[in-house]
Amino acid sequence: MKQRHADLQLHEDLRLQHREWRVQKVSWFLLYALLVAIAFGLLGHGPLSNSQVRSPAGGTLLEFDRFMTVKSTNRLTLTLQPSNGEVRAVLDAKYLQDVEIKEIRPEPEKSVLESEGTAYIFSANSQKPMRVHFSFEPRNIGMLEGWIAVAGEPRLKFKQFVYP
Amino acid sequence: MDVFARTFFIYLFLLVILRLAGKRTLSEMSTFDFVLLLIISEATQNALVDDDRSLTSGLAVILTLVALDRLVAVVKTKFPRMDKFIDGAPLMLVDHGRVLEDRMKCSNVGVDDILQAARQHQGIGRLEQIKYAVLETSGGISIIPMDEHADLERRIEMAVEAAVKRALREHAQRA
Repeated sequence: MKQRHADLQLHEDLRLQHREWRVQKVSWFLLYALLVAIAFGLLGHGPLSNSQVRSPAGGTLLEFDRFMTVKSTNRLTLTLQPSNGEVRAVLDAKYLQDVEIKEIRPEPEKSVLESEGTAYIFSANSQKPMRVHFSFEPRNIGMLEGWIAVAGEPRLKFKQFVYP
Repeated sequence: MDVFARTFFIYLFLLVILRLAGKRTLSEMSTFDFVLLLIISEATQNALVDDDRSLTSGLAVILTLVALDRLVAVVKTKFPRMDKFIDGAPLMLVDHGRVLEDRMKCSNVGVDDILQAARQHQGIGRLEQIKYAVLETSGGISIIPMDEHADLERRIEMAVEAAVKRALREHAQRA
């Protein structure tokens, strides 16, 4: 850069400076957009992230987060049809390898290891739909696929993405 | 491996985000800057060591950070263009008491900031007394005061000339 002042040795670079301001402007526009997306659940816990699958019969509903961050606490919520007696919910074995189940509320009466997954058995006596919460922490980064099946119904498949 | 990757990524992210934030961010250490720094370091710490609280991983993080910093310093001295790219270039904000408005606006500096720097570092109270104000790459503002004695010789010469003329005139009147 040419020097404009004899008594000041200043290595200004106006071309770079203007480019810098332009890059800053564009970047901050994008970063603000990213911030808004995060506020709406790009990293989980928000409307962008909330998702659900319903069984074809319509009775069973699974609510899950589309996006999660690794080692954060997340939830699967299973809504079960009113019933009397024993309810079985089977969770994909492969999915269980990638997550660490922290808590199941209400606690299942027992869990049974099966070839395809783990069956949680609850006893129920309710005229209203019942909700079961699975709290868990994802252990691996990347795409997570799993399914949950309530006895006598097809599998409810879901996909989740785990950020680092 | 994980620790190096994490540290590298965090270092890079902080480098980019603080560069994008502009020169003035975190430069003056006002109360709020201080709080911001503490929060950033807290968030960084979590991301750096995750849930590994061992001594060795802490040392590995420090080693990686210092090594990266040295590497960046070497790159900056070897390639002046990279230096400008990483640190930016200084920018003149006031030229002989004249405020360069568009530059001030683009770099988020107010006249008050310049006056503050002038008072703090030079004991100068007025804008006209500032010859140059430069926004440094560190984010600080340096002030070069007007040279009040620059034309001292000329002024003395003029004063002497006037005095001599007056004396000559008085001498002529008396004669």
